[in-house]
Amino acid sequence: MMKSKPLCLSLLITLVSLFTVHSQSFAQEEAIRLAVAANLLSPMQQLKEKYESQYQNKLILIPGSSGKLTAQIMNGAPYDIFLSADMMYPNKLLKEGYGKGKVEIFTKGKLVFWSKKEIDKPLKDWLNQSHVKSVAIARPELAPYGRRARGWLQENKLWGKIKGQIIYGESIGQVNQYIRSGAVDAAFTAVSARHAPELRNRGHWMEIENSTSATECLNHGLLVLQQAKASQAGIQHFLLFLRSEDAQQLLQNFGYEKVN
Amino acid sequence: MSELLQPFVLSLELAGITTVLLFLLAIPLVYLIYFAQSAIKPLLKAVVSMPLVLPPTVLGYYLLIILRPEGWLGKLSDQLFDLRLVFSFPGLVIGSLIFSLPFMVNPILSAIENLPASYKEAAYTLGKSRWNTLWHVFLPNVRSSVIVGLVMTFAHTIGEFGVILMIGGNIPEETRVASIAIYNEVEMLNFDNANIYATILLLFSFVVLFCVYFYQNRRVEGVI
Repeated sequence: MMKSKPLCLSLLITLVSLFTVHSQSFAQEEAIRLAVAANLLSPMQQLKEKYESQYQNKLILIPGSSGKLTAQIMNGAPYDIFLSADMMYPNKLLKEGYGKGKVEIFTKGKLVFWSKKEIDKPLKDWLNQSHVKSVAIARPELAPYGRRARGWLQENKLWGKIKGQIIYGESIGQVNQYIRSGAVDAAFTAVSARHAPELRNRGHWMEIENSTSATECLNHGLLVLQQAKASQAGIQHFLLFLRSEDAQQLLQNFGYEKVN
Repeated sequence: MSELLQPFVLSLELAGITTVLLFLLAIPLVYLIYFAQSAIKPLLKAVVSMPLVLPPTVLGYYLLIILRPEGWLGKLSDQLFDLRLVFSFPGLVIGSLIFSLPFMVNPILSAIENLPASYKEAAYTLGKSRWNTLWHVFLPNVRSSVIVGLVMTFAHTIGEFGVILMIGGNIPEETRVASIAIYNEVEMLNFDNANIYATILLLFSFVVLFCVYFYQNRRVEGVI
């Protein structure tokens, strides 16, 4: 009569074995979890390979826009270190008690412009003649590079003109994905995109000169988090590596500037 | 290679655990709804079926509010078991239980409701209790629907995205399941990897649905 008995039994066995499998996967060497602003993902992946080939520790990269990662950290996400695309977010976290020590500037970025068509005159004039149907920027309220792009456009009195053509990406990662798939005609992104192998040879690139106030503050801040689970020694070891000549050189290969 | 397959392992774990727990949870729920007074039946059914029409982001938002360290459930779990529920695997299990609930309850419930009344009457006449009737008479008679419920719950959990993105984030080996891994690979411009993940999930979805319909087809022909 009770043919569902074997079913129940097999379900229970499945449940127990699945939980066992999952809890086993926790027992590993030390892993450091880095919440990484999306623009830094390409260089960080190479840094991760370098670091893991030299040392025992593992690096786990969690990408996202700086604003989104900040919200996750405030909601208790278990990250050890936060690498932001600006100073505002890590400073905010520190002020609200989510950080240890102080915010450190570990590199300096650049804002770049990408277009399918050739840019044959100063960008401001080129955009003013607006042959572009769609321009991607990262969401200004979550992604520092999006904020800077908007700042640059406002400063050059272009915001009102091309606001209707703007496509918002969740983060620089998504903006780069629009470039990669050819979904937009133009985009404001981070300098690392220009050096990424998948994007290097697509369309036309142009650096936004760093003289304007909107793009002045391209310092990227690092914060060790209060809720860090990794050991203090492990975290310090990684930070030393990040400051090393090797690591800084790798960041420079992607167009970032060294900070003294 | 193992790192490439890790999200699938996680997806299968999550779907497996969710399916088993939901089966255990669905039986008492079916009992409650089936034997409820007709006045509150629609209410109960609506509550159970909510995840079918609710945007996953709405579910994700409420779960985030409840599960975060300041939320009542998150606080409780932190104090009692020192367990974080947001951005962790146990949190995903809680989310999936709610998200896939109708896929387990509805097929079983509607199959039981469609059984001839004589089954119930015969069982009562022989002095069976309600619980006994459900367990010994109804469930064995709707076994095919139970199996469909199990398979659909499993498959639906594999396809979960919005809820996980909001309460789980994107942490490798903890909350980066297959659907999140695609999103992540696309964002990292690894279209080749995204393609592998997408193809596997596409085939998986088709095979599961094909098997379900094939099985149902055979059943209908065999029942008279």
